[in-house]
Amino acid sequence: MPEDKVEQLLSAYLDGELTQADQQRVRIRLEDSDETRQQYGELMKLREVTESMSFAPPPEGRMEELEQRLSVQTPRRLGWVFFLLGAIALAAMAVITFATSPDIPPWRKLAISGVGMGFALLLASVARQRWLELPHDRYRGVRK
Amino acid sequence: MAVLSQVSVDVPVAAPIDEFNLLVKEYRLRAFHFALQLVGNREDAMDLTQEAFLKVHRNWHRRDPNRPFAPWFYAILRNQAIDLLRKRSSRREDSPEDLPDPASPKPGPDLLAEKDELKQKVWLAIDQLSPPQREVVVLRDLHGFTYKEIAEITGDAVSTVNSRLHDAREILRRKLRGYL
Repeated sequence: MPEDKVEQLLSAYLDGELTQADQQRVRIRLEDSDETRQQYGELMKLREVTESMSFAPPPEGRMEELEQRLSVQTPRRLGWVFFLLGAIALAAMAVITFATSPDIPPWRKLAISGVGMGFALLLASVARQRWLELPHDRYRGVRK
Repeated sequence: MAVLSQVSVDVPVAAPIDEFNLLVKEYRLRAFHFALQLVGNREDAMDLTQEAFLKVHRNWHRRDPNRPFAPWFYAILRNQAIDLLRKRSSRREDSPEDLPDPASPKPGPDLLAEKDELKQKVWLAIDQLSPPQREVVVLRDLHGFTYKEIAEITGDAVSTVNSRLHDAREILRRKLRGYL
């Protein structure tokens, strides 16, 4: 391995991210070269300083506000999930009851189905248009 | 009821309240600081933190429970920060050069909680790195992620993270040689 390649491993050596073979190469270089030892010492000092930095706290009261907002969002979301599931179940039951009822004459079933289908298609078309107009959300489907 | 049994609806599963609240408590300050280190403004950092948690909540059903939460969450937060930085850049391009943009103050050493001269110099030097280099230094040295986790957060290869961190530290070392 050329000399400069070993120098390039110093940073990863410092972080314990090297294979055993590469660690050994760096150790040998550190023993042999004053310059590499100095470079390594500076990198260590740099990381020491960086790791010990502490940063400004959040604006007053904003963390509490954040928790409050999130605590409201959680049950609200659950509420929507239950509402949606219930509404779908009710709608399905209504459709089945309507379709299988012997009391409603077929021509009336046909007319009501037509109105229902038309309404559903209009709704779907508007929903699709709104969906296409939404700005592209790059986080949709985030799986990291 | 045969028809009902065939109805399959992909309803997003909300985050369990207890688990989510614990995650908020555990990560809120770290998240705020990560956002602050990327965007350099406390108000923006707070907004980003809030939005990231809301996004986590909305996308809970997409989370892989077999993988650690932190890289996934940091990836979301990072993407939001990049979006904000991008918006700032385009705002700057749109506005006349002589007018400062009040929404994008220059990140500086005043973000540090302490007045240590060496730390301020180091932070200033980190702040002057290119955004991808600054990001790896922040994720590694300030948030303690491994190279593999950083790669997961940024979407880069581990070898890219490795060489980027090496380059960044070399720039910092040379710039700060007299102080180390």
